Amino acid sequence: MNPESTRNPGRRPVGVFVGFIVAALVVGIPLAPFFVELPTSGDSHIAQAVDAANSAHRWQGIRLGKSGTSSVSGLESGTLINTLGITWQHLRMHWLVPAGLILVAIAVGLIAAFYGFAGPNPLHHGASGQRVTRFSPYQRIVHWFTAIIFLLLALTGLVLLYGRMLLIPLFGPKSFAFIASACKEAHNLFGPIFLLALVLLLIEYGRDNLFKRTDLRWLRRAGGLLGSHVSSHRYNAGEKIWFWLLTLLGFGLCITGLMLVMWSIGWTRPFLEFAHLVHAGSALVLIAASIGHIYLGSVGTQGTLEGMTRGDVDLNWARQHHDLWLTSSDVPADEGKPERGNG
Amino acid sequence: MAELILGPLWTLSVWVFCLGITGRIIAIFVRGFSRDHARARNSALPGSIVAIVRRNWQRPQFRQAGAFVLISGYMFHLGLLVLLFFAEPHAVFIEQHILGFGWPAVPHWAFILAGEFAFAGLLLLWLRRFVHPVVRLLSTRDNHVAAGLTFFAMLTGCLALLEYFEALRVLHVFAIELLMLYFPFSSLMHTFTIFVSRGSSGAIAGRRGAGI
Repeated sequence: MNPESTRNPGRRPVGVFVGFIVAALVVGIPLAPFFVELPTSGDSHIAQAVDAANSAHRWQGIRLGKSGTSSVSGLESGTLINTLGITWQHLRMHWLVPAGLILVAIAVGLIAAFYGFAGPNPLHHGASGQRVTRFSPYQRIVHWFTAIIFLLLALTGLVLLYGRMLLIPLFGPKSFAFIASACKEAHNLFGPIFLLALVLLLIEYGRDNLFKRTDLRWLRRAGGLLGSHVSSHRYNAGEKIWFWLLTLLGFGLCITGLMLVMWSIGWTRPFLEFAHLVHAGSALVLIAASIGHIYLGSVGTQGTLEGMTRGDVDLNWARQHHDLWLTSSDVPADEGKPERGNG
Repeated sequence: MAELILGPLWTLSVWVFCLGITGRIIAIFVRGFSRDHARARNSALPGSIVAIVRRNWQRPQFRQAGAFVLISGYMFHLGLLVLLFFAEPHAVFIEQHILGFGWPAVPHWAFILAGEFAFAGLLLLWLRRFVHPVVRLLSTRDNHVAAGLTFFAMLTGCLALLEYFEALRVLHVFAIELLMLYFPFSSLMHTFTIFVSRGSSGAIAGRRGAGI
């Protein structure tokens, strides 16, 4: 035996101990999960309480629209709950839908009241029998093209907005699904054509619809309702307001509509929800205003519709409603022209 | 109703369409052309070819006045061509039920764009028939029925675009059947006769040495 080893007997046990610890760590750590007991009884209450607190905190964040991480790639894929979506749904169902109905009802009510109170606006001096060219064939094509597309879009859009409320009780959910699917496709397809119609409308009618000083006088006298006759050029201020309302809101409708159709190119949901509200709101304003336009252009004013159906109007109609236009150089030389001096 | 539309009515309309068109084309050629007594100054063939090509656009002096018809016409016809032969449902139908072979369909966005062009063009041209004082007088009931049936077929096709509802597809098939039944007896025959017509009048003019 080595005498050194007998003099320092503690070295070996320390080495063995260290070796044992290292071996225990090497073998034990990987095996630890198999041997360590899960917390029981008293420990679990603490763990659950901590977990619940974390969970509540986490869910509170989710409810507030907090984003996390997700394996799904794409815009907003980390957001479990879109809080603005709830706001949008609320605005749509509780504000937009009733407001639209109220707006249309007001438009119809005002027209009915006006019709009942004042009746249609007749030709004060009767028809002269002489005609003045009011619109070229191309202008009328553009008008009716816009009108047809607008009516198709309005009808299909109203089905999409109010169908659930009005059509399901009438036809049932299955039939409504069929109607809604057809309307959605038609609405999406005709929407971009409306953009083309608006461009043509702007090109063809824009210049004559620029506001002039005489329009202020027309507005102050409410187009002759308050006071005596008020002169106007080719279009009066009311017609010009309708024109610019249609074109400006119409372009807004087209842009927001295209955003909604092309939702997959990278718009975020809050942006699309905003676009939808603007889209539907503008459309309802235009639908309400169009009821007034249709009334005044047909039964409301005697002789007006002929301008769009035949292309010409009676000389007395032109004198009564657009006297400044009649005496301007814009009126083409046709059979109505020689009569202008007699007014 | 769906059984009738997808069964016997489909068969009937296909037969009427095919036999009607064949019969009318044969009738044109059997009838022949009236004898031209003028002394031939030139060959008929170049005149015929020039007329077929040249009449795809207007003469310079009519360019401005005819721009509306030219643009609307091409919008409608090219749009319809793409819809008819290159829309995916149609390309698949042609491959599986008619020819046995097919060609690649256009992407969905191109299909939709073609539909927009076709609808806009058709509406503008149809409105012109109602509005333009001269074209209004020249238009017959046949022109309006043909335009209406074409519009109906295109509209039902667009309504059935999602292919979620069988009833919408059946409605579209019904619209196509109406169109096929009417086609051979209407001005829609210009689909098959336009180049024959241009070629023959171009040949007559070419033979006489007239400019086309």
